[in-house]
Amino acid sequence: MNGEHDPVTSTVPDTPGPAVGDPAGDCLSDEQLVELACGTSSLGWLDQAHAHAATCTRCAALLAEVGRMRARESPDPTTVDARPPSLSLRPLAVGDRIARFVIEDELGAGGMGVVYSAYDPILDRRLAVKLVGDHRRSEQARLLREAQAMARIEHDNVVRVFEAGEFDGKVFIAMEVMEGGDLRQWIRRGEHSWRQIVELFVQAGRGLDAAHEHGLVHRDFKPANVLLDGGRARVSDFGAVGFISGRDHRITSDAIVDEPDAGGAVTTIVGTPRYMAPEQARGDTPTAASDQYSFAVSLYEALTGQVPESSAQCGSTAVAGVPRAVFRCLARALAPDPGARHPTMAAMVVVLERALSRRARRIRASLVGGALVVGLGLGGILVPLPSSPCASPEDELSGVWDAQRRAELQSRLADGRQLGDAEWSRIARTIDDYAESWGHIRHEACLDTRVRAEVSESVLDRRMACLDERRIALEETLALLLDDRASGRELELVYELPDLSVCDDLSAVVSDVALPLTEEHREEVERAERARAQADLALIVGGVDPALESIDALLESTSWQPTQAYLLATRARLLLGQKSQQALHAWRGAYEAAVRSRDAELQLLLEMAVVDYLIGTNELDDAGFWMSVVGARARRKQGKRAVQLARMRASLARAEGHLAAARDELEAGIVLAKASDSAKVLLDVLYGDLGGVEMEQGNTEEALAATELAVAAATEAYGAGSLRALRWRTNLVSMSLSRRDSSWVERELREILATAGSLQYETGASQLLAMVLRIEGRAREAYAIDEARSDWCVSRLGPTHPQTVESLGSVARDLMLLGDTEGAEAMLERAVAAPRDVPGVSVQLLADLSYARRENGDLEGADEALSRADDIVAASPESRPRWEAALHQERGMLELARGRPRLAAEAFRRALAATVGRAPPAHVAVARLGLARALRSDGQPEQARAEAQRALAGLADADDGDSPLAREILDFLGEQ
Amino acid sequence: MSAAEDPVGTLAALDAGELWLAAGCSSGDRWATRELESTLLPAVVPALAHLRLEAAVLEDIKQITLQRLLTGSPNTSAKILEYAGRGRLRALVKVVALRLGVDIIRRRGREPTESATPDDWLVERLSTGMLSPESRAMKTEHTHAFKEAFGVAVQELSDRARGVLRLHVLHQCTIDEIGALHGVHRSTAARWIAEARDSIGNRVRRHLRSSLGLTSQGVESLLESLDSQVELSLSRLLPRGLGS
Repeated sequence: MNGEHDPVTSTVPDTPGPAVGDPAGDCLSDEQLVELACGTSSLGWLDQAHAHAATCTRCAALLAEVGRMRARESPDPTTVDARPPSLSLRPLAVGDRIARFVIEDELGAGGMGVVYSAYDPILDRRLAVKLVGDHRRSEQARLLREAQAMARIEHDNVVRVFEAGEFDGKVFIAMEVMEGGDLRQWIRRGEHSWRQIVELFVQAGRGLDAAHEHGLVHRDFKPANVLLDGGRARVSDFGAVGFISGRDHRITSDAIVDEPDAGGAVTTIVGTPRYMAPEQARGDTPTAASDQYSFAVSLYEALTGQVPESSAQCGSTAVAGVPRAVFRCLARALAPDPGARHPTMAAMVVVLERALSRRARRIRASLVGGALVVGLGLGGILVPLPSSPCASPEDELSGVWDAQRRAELQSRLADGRQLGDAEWSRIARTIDDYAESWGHIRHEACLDTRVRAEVSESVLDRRMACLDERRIALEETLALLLDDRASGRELELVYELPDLSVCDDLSAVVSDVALPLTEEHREEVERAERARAQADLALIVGGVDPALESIDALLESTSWQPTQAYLLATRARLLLGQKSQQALHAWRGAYEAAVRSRDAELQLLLEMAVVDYLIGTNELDDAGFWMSVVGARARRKQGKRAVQLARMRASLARAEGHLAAARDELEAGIVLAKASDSAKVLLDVLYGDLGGVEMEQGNTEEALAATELAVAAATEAYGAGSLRALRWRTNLVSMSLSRRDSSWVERELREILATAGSLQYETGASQLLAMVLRIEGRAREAYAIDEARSDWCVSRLGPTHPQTVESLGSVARDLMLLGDTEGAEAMLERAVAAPRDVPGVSVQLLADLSYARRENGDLEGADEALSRADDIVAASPESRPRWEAALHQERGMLELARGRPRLAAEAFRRALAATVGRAPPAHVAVARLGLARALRSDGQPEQARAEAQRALAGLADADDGDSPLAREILDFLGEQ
Repeated sequence: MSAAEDPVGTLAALDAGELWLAAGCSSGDRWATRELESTLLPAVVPALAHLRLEAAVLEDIKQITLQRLLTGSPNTSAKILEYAGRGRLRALVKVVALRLGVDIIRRRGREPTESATPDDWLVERLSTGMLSPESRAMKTEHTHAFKEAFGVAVQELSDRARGVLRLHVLHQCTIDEIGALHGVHRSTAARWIAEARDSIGNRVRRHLRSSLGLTSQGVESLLESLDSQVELSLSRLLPRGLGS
């Protein structure tokens, strides 16, 4: 072709010849295009044209333009949107959504609503969605009620309603699509036997009865409201919903819907006069009996072609072939007094069925179904919609947040969680405000584009997407609050709902959807990314403070919201890792930012971090809650994420005492980690955790092997001086305590501490060294180490950090050994006064406090401390054998000191029950020794001796036969 | 004035009018030519409205259309004679003008590179439009597999489905326009689009699964994002289009 010359003349090819490249098939000729423009082409030919257009831009464009031209000029009303121009504010377009249903087309419009064909992406089916509304709130509420009632009816003869709810201040009803036309059309085609007619009406009658059973009155039964599908009749358009919506234009042609009069009185008379029961016409509330009347009029009309004049006239009607019983049945249903009619629709149906069966042998019903498949019959006049597409702001969130949901939430929160009035009203007000501004912004957005024409459609799309996301966030949050498994923490989510103002801010909306990075933003992203890497490093090898400082500095200079969220998240993770006091606060802020930037990945990261943190602080309920959030969000993650998840699940299982499950998770994680380059850096953690789990199960060999692998993996990944490697080394030492001599242990630990340098208090080695020295009887040295560590904790972590509390406990133990029980008691009082309530730590400290008070002669105080510990254990949802064992042990000692050996023996037996098979042999032996002492005090020397010997045997079995404890038991035996 | 007395006045409705006009024009009757100009050529303007051409260019197009209708090329007779009396002269005028208009638009580079076919374009458009920013980043790892999946998915559609999708996505045709072109109800056109859309989503998922394998890192996330994004993104994408 001769495309090089301009002007226009040169663009005219002599023939409609080939365009770009060498496309398959011939280009469309003028003649073909003319046929197309005139609508005389066959579909088959068009398909060929499409095939050609796949490779020919010119013909593709021509096809499109001819289509446009034809649509513009088509005189055929069925192919053109017949709504008058006043409706240029289109209500909903293809691709819009009503709830989750994606609109594909508009099927028809009625006085107060419109029906769309739509697609349900979840159940992958096509359905009809009716959107109906009423500006009267009372009517609206009734609509919703009835729609929801319809959704509960499952009956072969009732059009299935899949779902009903509120949308945009209107009620939507998602129902099955019926493509077989309606009963009125069928009747009009004529040539049906009375039997065929009655059979279909019997079906419809059953459908009506089912509705009545559900407390629904149809109020406008007529043949046009009975849809046919493959020989089956189904009643549709129930109640107010059916009425004011109109399945299509028919409604407006013969039904009446009155409006409130000028005085505002609402006297709704709905129905179609032709079929209406007398009481309904008078304005009385229609009942099931009114439906029966309408049904009878319809059937009479179908059989005779006329409406009955009266009940009496009906009773005397005779039509050749039709049993008189049918008319007598109808006559009763047509009684002016509703009370004189058949008691129920079901009763009437039975009478009709009897009439059918009486003649069944004589006349075989012909195929009803075969004749019923007709077109959808959508032609005709479409009635203009009265409402603007920019629905009024109120009620747009109904179904999500409305009076009903509010009441539901209030009762749930008040009943389930003893939520105070003040807190409830704060939460409710927050949601109210949110919902209100959501509706306002949505309305304004619509007006901006559709009415004021100030903003383009594509921006409107983005704004709506933005609002939609926030609606979903609100929905999900509320669903979480209403969830039975809700634990209380999720209440905070109400305050963390994604920012609405973004949707109102045009530039934000645009950037949110398309994320156009400016150069400046790109730089910010890069800086943030570096800071994150630094922070991750700090978490691994230490140096958190400089990392925090650099993030804070970056936050000052960062303007782009997604980056800010990213930085906040990093900061929060650092603080969580530090178990910092501000950690949860920072976490909340970061989580809010991540939610606001709709950054699901960031949210996941934060959720994972908080699970770790909560497991660390033993807040297992909350940890379990967030773990489930993480699990749902990340269920199909691979690589590093999957490994992290496995590890977190293991940690949670371990904290909950499910050791076998924890091991399974860890082993699965190790397999995953080995298979993935990115996840290899987690191997040391998995091995290290596995070692811990094995140890807790008493498998020392396996524990040591796993921990050695952890040390090796950490050394390889992070270096021998890394905190991780040193921690695993420390673990290794602690696991070897029973098999190595103390000089090796001491040497090893001191080496670890020397390597760690400034990190020494974070390795756990100093703690362990102090413990070893304490056991060795070198309490003074232990005290020096513990006191230094405790000082470090107080200054670095603050007085209430769990680690600080624990270090105070260690100092107290040293002081006890040094004979300073009063100093120990004071130390423990400080420790238990920390507001942070970590159950495990608290139980241990209270047990120690009880011991110290007992030693100081304060038996009542000792009792009080033990009782507090008992309360904590009792409040814990799961059973904690180790805590229980410790407390029973202490209780036994206390009762012994009080001179109540029976009570003591009972306590020791409980301690024994909690330790046997679960705790190391030494713990069992301690409990047995206590029991032996109690028994001896109780005058049972033989039993006492037997227990002591069993304790000794247990220690010997564990190669612990010459430990201090064993010597103590031997001493006890010798005393006898 | 009756139709018989004023054939020109009822020209649009009558084959006889066309016949008369065509005959007059082909025989060089200047009066007939003027009638053609004043009666039929104005229809060119609304027919080309969508192309948003300047008034001067439209005038040119009208003149060239007239020229082509009346003169023909060395090998063909005048177009107008071929159509005379078949009631399609009006349509012919518009088709000839449309072709001219479309060529001008193409020449002005409002389309992608000349080497790309409409289907290449469609694939490109679908594969970028259907992804969230998050999965777009992931996409770079699998650009090839991804493009290929879309390519195959598009190719596997029936000619009609592909054509309808093209009209809708690339040319921004509404369901009314697509329905009109095919002589079907708008709801049918809408259904075709929905089906094509669903089909693409399903096929892309399937192809990606088989080409990348379930174990391949990141693919599951990609698919996951696809699963949730395809319906919405596509439905958001479709009404906008990239058109000229």
